[in-house]
Amino acid sequence: MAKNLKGRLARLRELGLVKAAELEAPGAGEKGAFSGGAAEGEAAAQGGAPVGEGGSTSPSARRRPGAGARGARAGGGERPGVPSFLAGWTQAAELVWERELRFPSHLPPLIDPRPFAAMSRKAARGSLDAAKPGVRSAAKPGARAADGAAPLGAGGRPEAATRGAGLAGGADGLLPSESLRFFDLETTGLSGGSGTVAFLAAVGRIEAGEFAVRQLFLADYPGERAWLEALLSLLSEGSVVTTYNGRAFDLPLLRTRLVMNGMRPPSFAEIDALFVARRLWRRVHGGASLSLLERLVLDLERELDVPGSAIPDIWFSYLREGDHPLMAAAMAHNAEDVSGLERLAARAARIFEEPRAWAASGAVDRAGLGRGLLALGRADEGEELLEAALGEGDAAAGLLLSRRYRREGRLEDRRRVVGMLPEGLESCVERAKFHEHALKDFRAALAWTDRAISWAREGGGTEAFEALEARRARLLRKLERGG
Amino acid sequence: MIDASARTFIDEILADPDVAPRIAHVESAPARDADWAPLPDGLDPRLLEALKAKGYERLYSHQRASYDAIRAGENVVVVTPTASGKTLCYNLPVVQTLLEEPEARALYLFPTKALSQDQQAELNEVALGGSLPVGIYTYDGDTPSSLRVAARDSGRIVITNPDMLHSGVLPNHAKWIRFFAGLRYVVVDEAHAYRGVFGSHVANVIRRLKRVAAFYGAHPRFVLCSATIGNPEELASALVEEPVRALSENGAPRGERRVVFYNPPLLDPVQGIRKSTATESEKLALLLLRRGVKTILFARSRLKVELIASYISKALENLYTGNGGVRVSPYRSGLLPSERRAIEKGLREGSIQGVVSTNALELGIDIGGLDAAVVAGFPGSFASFWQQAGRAGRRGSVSVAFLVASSSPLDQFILAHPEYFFGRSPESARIDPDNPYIFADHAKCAAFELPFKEGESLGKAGPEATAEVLSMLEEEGLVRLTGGRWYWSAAGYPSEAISLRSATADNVVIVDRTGGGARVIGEMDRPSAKELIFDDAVYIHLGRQYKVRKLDLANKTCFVEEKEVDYWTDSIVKTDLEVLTEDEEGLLAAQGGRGPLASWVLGDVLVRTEAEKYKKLRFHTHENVGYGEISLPPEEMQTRSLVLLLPPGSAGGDLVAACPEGGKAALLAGAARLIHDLAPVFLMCDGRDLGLAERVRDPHFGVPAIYFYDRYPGGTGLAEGLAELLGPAIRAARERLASCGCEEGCPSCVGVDFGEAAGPQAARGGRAVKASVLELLSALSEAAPGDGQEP
Repeated sequence: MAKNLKGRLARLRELGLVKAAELEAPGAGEKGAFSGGAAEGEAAAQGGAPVGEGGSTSPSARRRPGAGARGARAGGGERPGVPSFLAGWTQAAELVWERELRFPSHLPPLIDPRPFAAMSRKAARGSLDAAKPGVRSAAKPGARAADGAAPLGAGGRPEAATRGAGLAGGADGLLPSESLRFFDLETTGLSGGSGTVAFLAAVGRIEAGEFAVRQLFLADYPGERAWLEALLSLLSEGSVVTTYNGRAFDLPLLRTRLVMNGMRPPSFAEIDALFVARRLWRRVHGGASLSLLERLVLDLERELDVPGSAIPDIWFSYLREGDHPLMAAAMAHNAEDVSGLERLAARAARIFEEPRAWAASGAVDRAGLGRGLLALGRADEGEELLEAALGEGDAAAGLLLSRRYRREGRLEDRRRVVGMLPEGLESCVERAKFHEHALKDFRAALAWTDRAISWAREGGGTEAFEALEARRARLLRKLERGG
Repeated sequence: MIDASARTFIDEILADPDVAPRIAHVESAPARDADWAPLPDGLDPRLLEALKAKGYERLYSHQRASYDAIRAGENVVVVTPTASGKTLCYNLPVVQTLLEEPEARALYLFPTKALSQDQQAELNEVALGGSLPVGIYTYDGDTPSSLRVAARDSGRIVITNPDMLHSGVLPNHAKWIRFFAGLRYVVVDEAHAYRGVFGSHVANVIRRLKRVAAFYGAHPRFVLCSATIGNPEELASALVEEPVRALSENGAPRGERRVVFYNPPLLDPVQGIRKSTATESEKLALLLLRRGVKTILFARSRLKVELIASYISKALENLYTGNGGVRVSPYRSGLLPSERRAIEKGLREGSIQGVVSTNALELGIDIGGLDAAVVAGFPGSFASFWQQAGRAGRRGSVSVAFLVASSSPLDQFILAHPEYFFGRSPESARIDPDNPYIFADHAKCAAFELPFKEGESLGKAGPEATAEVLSMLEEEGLVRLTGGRWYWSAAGYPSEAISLRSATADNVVIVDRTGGGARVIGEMDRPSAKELIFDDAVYIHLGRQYKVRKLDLANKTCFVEEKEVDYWTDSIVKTDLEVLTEDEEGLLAAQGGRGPLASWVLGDVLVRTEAEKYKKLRFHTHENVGYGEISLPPEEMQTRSLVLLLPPGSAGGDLVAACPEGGKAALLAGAARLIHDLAPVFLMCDGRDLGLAERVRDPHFGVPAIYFYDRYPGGTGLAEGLAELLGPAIRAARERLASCGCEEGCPSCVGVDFGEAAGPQAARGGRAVKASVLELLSALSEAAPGDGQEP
């Protein structure tokens, strides 16, 4: 059968036939042959090829050979000279280019890394998807865990973010900001699978009072190994790699690229600023993407920015054509991402230095900041902020405090907080618990339980209902016994 | 479990005056004792302890043989019927190796998720029983992300299905580095399920799997398990592209089994019309169920499953006795997974006593002990029949299986020839991993997984074919050749858009809008949707009737609303063909060097199908109560076809030429129908997998032609298979016709509509048509027309 396959494939090409297609689908018009840059999204996501999934084609529009053939079909990818966007770059190795840009820096000389990892298990629950507390990821081969460094791309718990030798810092737990390496990749896709390649990296560091961003550009696939080696040397040197969503994306992807090139992934300490950013700003701004927070928190507008989703096709198109008018902008986007990250990190650090002032300004999520402070062991500040949030109707903040005070045996504090809880199912349950266990006032507890039951009726789900019925039954028994 | 009283019930039923006259044949297979072998030497003591704790003191002979062959480093395919302890055939050697080599890993593949959950439970028993340090994880679409990480890192045995392997594991193989580096065994269970479309896809997934494993330095051995098919060794080696040793001796014990052939009574002997298969099957099932016999009824289509299940439930309806304590449930694909799990559970636990199913329940999902199987209409292959019949008596006790014949030529042929049925070996399973579409799809995925070196071959397709497909992909802008390698160069994730199980990934979701809600109740592939759930069609789901309000293909949704009507809808599909290539040709040669009987050509064709109208058929009577229009765009696909040609100068061609002009169409149609209906006896396919079209004056070949084409785009080996088996298929067709007792043609032979061209003459000319078809088929099989005819 294999002997026929080549012939059958050749015939498929000649006739340009699709596998199974709808003819003249109503209203869909004609989807033309896949064309590189323009086919972003739909066709690109499907792999674009009419061989495989058909678009609608009428017989006369079946693709003919040559339709869709690109200029650089010859192997080796010879291109006419150096592309325009590489002006100002120097060649670092075969197919690897680099440059350095300077930005103003915003971080102070010393930084407290703990807020960036500032999430206890409890605080993390319910607020984030990225790293699920309790997930244990075993050490990956090649990762050295002896010094406690979090292995590259481990995907472990948030507080693992800043474990590591590199974070030993001074006695006061502070790190020199020069040891941070801010890092971001541009890739050919979002999937993180083995076919996704990183072709542009930016690594930023504080140097002599400025923020120096070094970028590495991969000019074609065969240069990847050298590109990776250059990137690794920028990232290590006893540094702390700092990313935005890098734990879920950039670092695992880097790890995959290293594996694909037969290189051992090193381990170094890493911080993912996404977690603290979500905590501080998500509820206030309705999201925590870097571009959103740059605009709303840092007040930065980028001129003529290329959207991230367009970048993969820019690189592919450049590979085929030899140049691309938007690549320079994409490269700028990458560098600016890293610079923005540094600024955002600096802002977060300042917020934790003066939390009360920032909370009062209304620019941060008071309850989120409060939780972060609690996780850092800064109990007074944290509680103050959470109580302020509760005062403005934040039920979750109130519940958290109530439970905290219960654990710590602070009856009066708990009483105050419970009294401030806004109406709602969980509040009623908490009040019921308080009255039952702390005050032993079963009658009041029963009343709150009944209130909770009527809340549950309006849509709490059967589990809540069953638990409440059980509580009610228990209280009735206690009342019977105690009188 | 059947006890002696149940057995009496079976005898009672067989003696029932309503049943006894219809019995065409009873075959009894006696009970059989086990064939034992000792446990192997040198087993790890922990494993030994775990076995003893489960009561395993010795092995069946085939389990021991399997252990020895696998440990000796061979690829093995174990061929056994259900309930013969095949799991231990692979678990034992695999776990032994895992205990010896701490870095070793194994991958277990099951065709469906339900099966793998089943197996995980069984495996966990063995492993935990002896507290063996072998972490076993299921990895499929339902696995939560925390467990996925654990499976990748610490899973020594990972259980998954081909779909997950294809779109979840292989494209992310760098996260599985430890697993692949240590991969020693790949177990492929229910390998007979990997035939046709699905099998061709899975063969390519295995090519990719081997390629990725080799990247990490691993060359795993394969262990396959298959039900009894005609060519287990051939299928297994085609799937894994390596030599495989077949072990087919079965050492497990078996309870007594009876197979009963049942022919529904003739209502009109002259017209050859029989009582409906469905009605008769329901009757048998009710006889069984009312006596407390747990029964499964297999029907041919999803629609029939729903109809029969509701008829039976209605017949059992009795407020006073609570339906006699009997609950019957339909079961088919298209039900939501949660619905299917609930039914499987009910069967296992006994809260459901009867089930009506399509062949979806053929595979080894554990549904506990059923005592009787009623197979409504021959399921298209012997292997299928034995799988279905084998659902009765799973626990090795006495069982009975009824085959209720339909009026189709195939079923009637089988009933008349039990010796053929019981004596023949089952069909061979066919795959075509080099179907160009399937191959191209997987080449895309493989390029995403690892760049191709120039000159590399994907599996055994060869470097030239691989290069050919890669340059096609390059023209699409998906890969880039540079520095001696082909790299994936598109933003997408190719395996997402590729389904291993259907022609297109465009499934239509069926949404119930009754009462203003929006509940997903099922799904269907696009081509089937156009033929089954067009606007105003009647759709039946779990016994409830719905009317289709709107089929929105652009958004892949079909909106339905509950509505009780007294008819169902059947679409009329029009087919056009265009010949694209002629790849091979041959002659149907006569013995003794006389001229050819006919000739044939094998090649690619373009098939265009359109559903234009539909019939409304009343329930029960099937009378036609109206028509409706369908306005949906046609479907077009390229596939493989075998064309039987009857040119002048050949015996067959001369007969057709001599036939009067008005009768040619009917002659061809009748002959084609018979050959088409009997072909599945020889190929291992469903009748619906093979399309049919005849042309009195074919536009391409210029002579009378009959097209048999594969209904899956690109073909799955059926056309090629038929080219090899054309002679026997024609002979069987002739025999069926010669022995048919009707006078003017009937559904069991040439049928009753003789094509559009025949017109109203057809009914009166039925006798003549039958005679001419018999003459033609006799000429083509070199028999005298009078041979074998009923007096």
